[in-house]
Amino acid sequence: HMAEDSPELLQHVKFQSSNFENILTWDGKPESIPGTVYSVEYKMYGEPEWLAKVGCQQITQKSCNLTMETGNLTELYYARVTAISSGGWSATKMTERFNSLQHTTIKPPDVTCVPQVRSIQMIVHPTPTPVHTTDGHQLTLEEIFQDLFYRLELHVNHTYQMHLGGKQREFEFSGLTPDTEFLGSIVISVPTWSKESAPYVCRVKTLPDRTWT
Amino acid sequence: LKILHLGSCVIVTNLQEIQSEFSEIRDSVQASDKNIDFRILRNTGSLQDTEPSDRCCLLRHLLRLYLDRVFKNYQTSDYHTLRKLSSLANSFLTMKKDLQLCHAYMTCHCGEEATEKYRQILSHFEQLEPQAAAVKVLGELDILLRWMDEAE
Repeated sequence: HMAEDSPELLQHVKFQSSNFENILTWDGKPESIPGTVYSVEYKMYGEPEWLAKVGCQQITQKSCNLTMETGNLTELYYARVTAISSGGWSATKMTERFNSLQHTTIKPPDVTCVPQVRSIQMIVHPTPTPVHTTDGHQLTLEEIFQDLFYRLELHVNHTYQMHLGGKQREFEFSGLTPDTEFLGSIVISVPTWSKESAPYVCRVKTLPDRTWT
Repeated sequence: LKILHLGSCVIVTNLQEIQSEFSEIRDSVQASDKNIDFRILRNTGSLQDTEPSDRCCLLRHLLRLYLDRVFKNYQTSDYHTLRKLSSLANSFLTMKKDLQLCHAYMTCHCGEEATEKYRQILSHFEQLEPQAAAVKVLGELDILLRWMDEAE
């Protein structure tokens, strides 16, 4: 029984990439026919062959992790999904051209906010990615994006915020009132690619001043 | 602004603005390139893997290719795309003029490597129909921009 084309079996085949974790996702028909299975293939732009993604053949879930297969930052890729329903209908759909440098979004940074009596330290931890150099070194976001920097904001009250920024990892907001709560927000920014993360937010209270007690 | 060191030729360009202009039309342009088994700007011909002294010449050739055979030949009725193409063409024209100055001051030498690499790119380009080639190479503009970005 030859499978006939049924495009509505399959929609929105696309890469969702965050910190270089590249996940292929798709939607089935709203009331997807039970027993519909999906098979994933991928290839490099400019290459003739499609390669089957091991582990994502005849699967029922609607996502597939292609991080390793699409990990070369200088290459461009395509992926495609073939859906086959139990009734023998089929559909194949392809992604747009994908490059993780262009398409990945940046997650909020990992930050430790350390309160002192009259200051708050903010220590940004490097962000590892699944990308490795040829000699096996795991790259961080900071190593991949040369112009990456951090933007920090401390909300003192409704009308007054303090701002810091830079490529270093340790920052300190000083001259603060002891025993007072502040709201800190830190984002990662990559100007060349016009990328900016959602903020990491920390609510922290300066320590009481016990000097004269 | 980005300073491009191309051997002894140094030019300043706003790569980020060009990147952002192109990103507005990239998906639609790339979607109209149906031949995804074939690539014109290949890693073997990349700017950053070219001898610094030959980079200016190779880039000059590439900019001329885009100006003379891509921006001119790309056909679309979409007004937004046309506006972006015009803006991209102007940016390329500015860069080409800067490279022209380097050429005038003898700092844009065409060595064997640049000549051979451009010859290969042109042969890939000419394997396709003019309109198909224009669509493909326009869709590969992000590749050229990355080459320029990495040609520090």
